[in-house]
Amino acid sequence: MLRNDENKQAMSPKAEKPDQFAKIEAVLRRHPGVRAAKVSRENFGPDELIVYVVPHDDYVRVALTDTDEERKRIQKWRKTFDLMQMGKEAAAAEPGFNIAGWNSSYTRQPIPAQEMREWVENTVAEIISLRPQDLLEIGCGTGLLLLRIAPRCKRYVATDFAPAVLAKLRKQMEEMGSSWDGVDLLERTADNFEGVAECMFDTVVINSVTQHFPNVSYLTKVMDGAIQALKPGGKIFIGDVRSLPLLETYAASVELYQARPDMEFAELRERVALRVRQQEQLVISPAFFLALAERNPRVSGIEIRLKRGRSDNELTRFRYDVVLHAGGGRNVSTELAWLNWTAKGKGIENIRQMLNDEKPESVAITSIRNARVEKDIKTLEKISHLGVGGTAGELRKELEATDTDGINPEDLYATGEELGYRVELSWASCRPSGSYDAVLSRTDTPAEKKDPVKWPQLSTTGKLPAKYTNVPGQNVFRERLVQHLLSYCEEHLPEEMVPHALVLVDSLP
Amino acid sequence: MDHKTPIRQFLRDLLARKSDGQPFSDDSSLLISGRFDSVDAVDIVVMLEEKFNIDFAEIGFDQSMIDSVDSIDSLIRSTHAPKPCEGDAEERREQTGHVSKS
Repeated sequence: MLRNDENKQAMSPKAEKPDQFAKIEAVLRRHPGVRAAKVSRENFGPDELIVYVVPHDDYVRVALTDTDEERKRIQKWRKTFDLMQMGKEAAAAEPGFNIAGWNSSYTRQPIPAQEMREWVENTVAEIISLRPQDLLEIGCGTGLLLLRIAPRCKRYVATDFAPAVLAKLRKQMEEMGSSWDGVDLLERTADNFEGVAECMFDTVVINSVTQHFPNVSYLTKVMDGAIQALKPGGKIFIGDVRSLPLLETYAASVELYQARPDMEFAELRERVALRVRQQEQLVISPAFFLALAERNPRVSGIEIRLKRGRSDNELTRFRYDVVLHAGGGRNVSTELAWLNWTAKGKGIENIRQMLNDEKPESVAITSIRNARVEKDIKTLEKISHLGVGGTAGELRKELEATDTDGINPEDLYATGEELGYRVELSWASCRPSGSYDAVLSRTDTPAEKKDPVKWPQLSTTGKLPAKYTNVPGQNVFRERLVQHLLSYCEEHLPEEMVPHALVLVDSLP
Repeated sequence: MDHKTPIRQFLRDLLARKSDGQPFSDDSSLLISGRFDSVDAVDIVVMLEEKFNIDFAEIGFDQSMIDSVDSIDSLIRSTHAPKPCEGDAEERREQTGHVSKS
């Protein structure tokens, strides 16, 4: 990124002695936003003085938590959603099924309606299984859940921050003609709990919303508010959370799909890194919720569930649902003997055979390779190996010819159901391979007699460290940081030593 | 009035923020092609609202309206068309159901 004053570039004779490099680097290193700095020796000349800078992650993070920055990011998302409702797609939406704006990262086209329908139906089923009566939905959007769940509830309070979206929803409700007694729509941001008393709701739903939160402290604030609003025994459903352990895999998957056939691995690698860094959405590790549960005495249990659905898309591959339970005291969960399923050749047939032959009361299996993301994991592995050459076209061909030998979670559900087993799956282990853990228990044992499962999980400190989410909106801030550091150099260095350009890098070349 | 120069510059800066230094021509698709995403579209919309007084709430929004330098230019031209005389305005109101603010 070049600084703006191009005239100065021509005027100033630049630093020519390598001993001056050390001074430039030392001055920059004194800035709190700089972790390391190095003058480029290769691109050095009278008109070219370039410095590589590794910014301090914490500095970027803190700057983006600034309330003004937070407000700007929220406003931007609000505008994004309002604009989506002004288009043809929203105007043409069938009643109760307005999916305008649900676009695929791969094709940039709308996600096929039948896939969205499956997503809606499965999400509705998950929430209804929590038996909601007094429900608070934060971020109701176009009402995909509300229009289906509200008729089953006594009270349904729904909030959204985008006025055009709420207006569309009100119109839909009128057109559908049903009675919407007990439904309240409120225009407000997710962190506004005004008028929400403690223990007011038995269910709080925050579905496909957290990715639009500006930062981790906002997310924490919303979660704390939601937990406060919950009656003892109540549950919070946080749906469609984008997975941080799989963020790089997601980026690799999308970039490979979009790449020209002749694109070399080196370029693909760069694009993947760029896509990760340029994320505008908040991507969260399940560890964030585990830590939240650990530090909050009102939370008695937590489940990190894989998405249900046969559709093969970014929602089923890279997102998950969380259910937080509120209650008096912590639930006691029994230790299980976990069978490790990492080895190759351990497929669904082996599980079927075990259930058939041994008919166990229950079986706990860990590290099941996930067929949904197996090829994406391979993609990332392949392109990450420095020194291994290849092109996108070759890799796509290779992957097409490769069979997956992991297990699709839906196959496990189907097998369990067929053989009389209840299937629970978990991503609490937060493994970047996307592998998951499963407990199958006989359906002839009533669910309420079953102890809650003590899932393998990443150990967390309960302190909600910032590393459990990415930092959305880094780009704008990095651009500002460059301008700021150039001004800083102008203040602290003689004119001939002021760099022409600063390049922000993750590590020094 | 030439709107294209400032539009080109604005779009170039927006692409640079995404580390996209690839050139583009006036008819290059930037939004539908995926070089910009829906969040970038908001930056373009806000610029058009602030600098050119375009009211999308009134005229509606579609990605194709701001997909290229050319489409943005014709959007500005259409919303900044010289004011018709009163009689024409009446006629236009009947045809379209609304009159642009400018």
